[in-house]
Amino acid sequence: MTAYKVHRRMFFKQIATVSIGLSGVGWFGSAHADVKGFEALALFLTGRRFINAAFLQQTYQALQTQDKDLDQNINRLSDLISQQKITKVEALMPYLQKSKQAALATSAQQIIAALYTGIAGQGDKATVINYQMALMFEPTLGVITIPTFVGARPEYWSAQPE
Amino acid sequence: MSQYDADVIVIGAGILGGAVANALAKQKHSVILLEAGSEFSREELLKRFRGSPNKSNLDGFYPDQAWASKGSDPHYIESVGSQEQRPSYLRLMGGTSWHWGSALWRLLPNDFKLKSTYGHGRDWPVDYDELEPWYQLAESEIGVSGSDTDDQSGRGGQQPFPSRSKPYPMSMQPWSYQTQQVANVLTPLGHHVVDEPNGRATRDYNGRPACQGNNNCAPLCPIGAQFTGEMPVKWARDHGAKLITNAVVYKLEKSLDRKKITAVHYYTPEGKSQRLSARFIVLAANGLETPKLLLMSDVANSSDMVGRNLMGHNAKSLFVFTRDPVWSGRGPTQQGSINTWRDGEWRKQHGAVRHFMFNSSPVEMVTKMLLAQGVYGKTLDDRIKHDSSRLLRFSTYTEFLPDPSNRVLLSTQKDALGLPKPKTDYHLTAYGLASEALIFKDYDNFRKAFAVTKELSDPKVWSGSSHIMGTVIMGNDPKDSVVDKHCRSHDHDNLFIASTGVHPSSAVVNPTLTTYALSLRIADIIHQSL
Repeated sequence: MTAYKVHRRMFFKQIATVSIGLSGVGWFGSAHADVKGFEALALFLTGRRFINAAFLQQTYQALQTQDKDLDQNINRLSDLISQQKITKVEALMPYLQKSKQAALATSAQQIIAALYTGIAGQGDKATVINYQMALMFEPTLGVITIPTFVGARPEYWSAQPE
Repeated sequence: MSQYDADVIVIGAGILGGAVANALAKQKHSVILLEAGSEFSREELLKRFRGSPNKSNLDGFYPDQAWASKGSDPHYIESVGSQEQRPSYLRLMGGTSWHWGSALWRLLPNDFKLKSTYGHGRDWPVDYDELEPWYQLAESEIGVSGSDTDDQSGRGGQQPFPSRSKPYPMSMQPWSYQTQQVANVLTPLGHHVVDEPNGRATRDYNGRPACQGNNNCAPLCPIGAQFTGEMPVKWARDHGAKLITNAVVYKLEKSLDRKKITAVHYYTPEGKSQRLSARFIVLAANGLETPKLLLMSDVANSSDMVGRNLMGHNAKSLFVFTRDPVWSGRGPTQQGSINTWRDGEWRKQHGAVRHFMFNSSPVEMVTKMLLAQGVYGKTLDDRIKHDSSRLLRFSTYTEFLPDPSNRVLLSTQKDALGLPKPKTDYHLTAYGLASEALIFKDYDNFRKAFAVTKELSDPKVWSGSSHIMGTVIMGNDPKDSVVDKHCRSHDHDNLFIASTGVHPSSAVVNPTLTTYALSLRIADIIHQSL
């Protein structure tokens, strides 16, 4: 077993302690380690315990078409998190900046942006991954409607949100 | 057998063409409705919206058709002049009202007589009282919801104004939390916040469900609770009108004596030319496309006024974060209106002003701003909620006057069919610009009243307008106007124009209801003549 794989497993273990809701947690030693690696990294980068598995899969596939180095960057980010014992995304991003790892910082930003907006890429290359599942809607769910979707009973809009 | 293909040909299957076609088809007249673009179902358009990566572009997900470009296509309208003017209109069955906020205001009596009351611009050749029964009919057909108690002039009167012969067909929609907050804060400052009458159903109405607050009125109501132009077009078809889509009219054919329009010529997307004839022609192809077609055909322009007097509600905006939550994004995307400066003696000095609020979901905009700032993790989630609850967006419409030097022309550039693209030459003029000081003063008061913590917009900037008026101007004098009070061409007695382009004053409210009323009157005049 290479050191690289050890590091990645250490990272996965760290994440596994918080990814209780992640479906199919049997990704340890899985033949599809890259997908599982993305799922674990996505949870870390968004500070979440759970993200819809189908949305994660869609996001991974969409980002793969946008970034040929995605798998490599996932592995490098996973290794770095594990090696540096970084526990939160709030610590990771300043570390990447400080250590001048621009490519990794950009990759992490792209993953976060895709998960929050439900859109992969920018400008003419942008594609919708999944509109309704975009994480940006979670903080105001039940208060601000996801446009086009019905959020509550008619005339809900008059009340003061709690 | 008739020598004509139809009694009436209507050019443009949008909200106004649909109104005319439906009214005539109901009376058993043969009607052909020509539409430059294609027909799409609401379901198809909804799928396109949800699949669009740029939802802030109201037009972005509507289909690109090489033979019927959208107004927002940056390669379509050639805009010269000091103020960019590229109206955002759609060319497909149902027209631009697919993506409107459905504000359905009546004009005020003084809006019809700006010249005689305040000494500026032009008077209409029709007054409020003459049009009132047609307003009533239009509101009933559309299904308008509104307040039966508001003084919409913004003067703060205790009686409803303007006067109405019947109540609104539907009761007003309960105000969103944001609209209530704005009224609560600004009313004590002397502002008059009123309900904005609109085309959203507040109960089942003529096959439409009541609004469910899906917060997507513009750019597309997903459930059809909001009135759109496809509805009268479908009614017309149900009553026997023939709709021909992908028919780009490029020429109106005149009789030998030039007094009548005898036929229309259109291209298919493949460039095949077709000719159709009718007793009456109704041109309802948008305020920019209508003068373009008249100029291409050398029709209705003995006054040289076709395309001139271009007006819009050029706007300013104030986007801010407030100290306390206002919670935009709940309910309809547009609601309520600050009408304090809609009408008064000061119109002798400057144009009317009207502020209103955007109530579309702020979440995507806020999230993208935070991501660009490098905010991550729990802070990102907290800030999305905090900032979204405090984003308040005002837009301000201003009244501009008809000026012959502001105009629509034929560009030397050609579209995919080899037809001239429209060209706008537009400059902001003194009467509207003189309102700027008042707007800035109001904005200062808004900033204080809402304890603004951050400002996102530049109020010095004027934006273009999609409310196109004046380009086929109405008047009594054939020497300085294109159509008469009945929207009939001064030059060709069987040609009518159903377009917001006929408006001789812009006032400061959305023009569609007034033109819908005029369109129903056009249909009645034609019906009486057939």
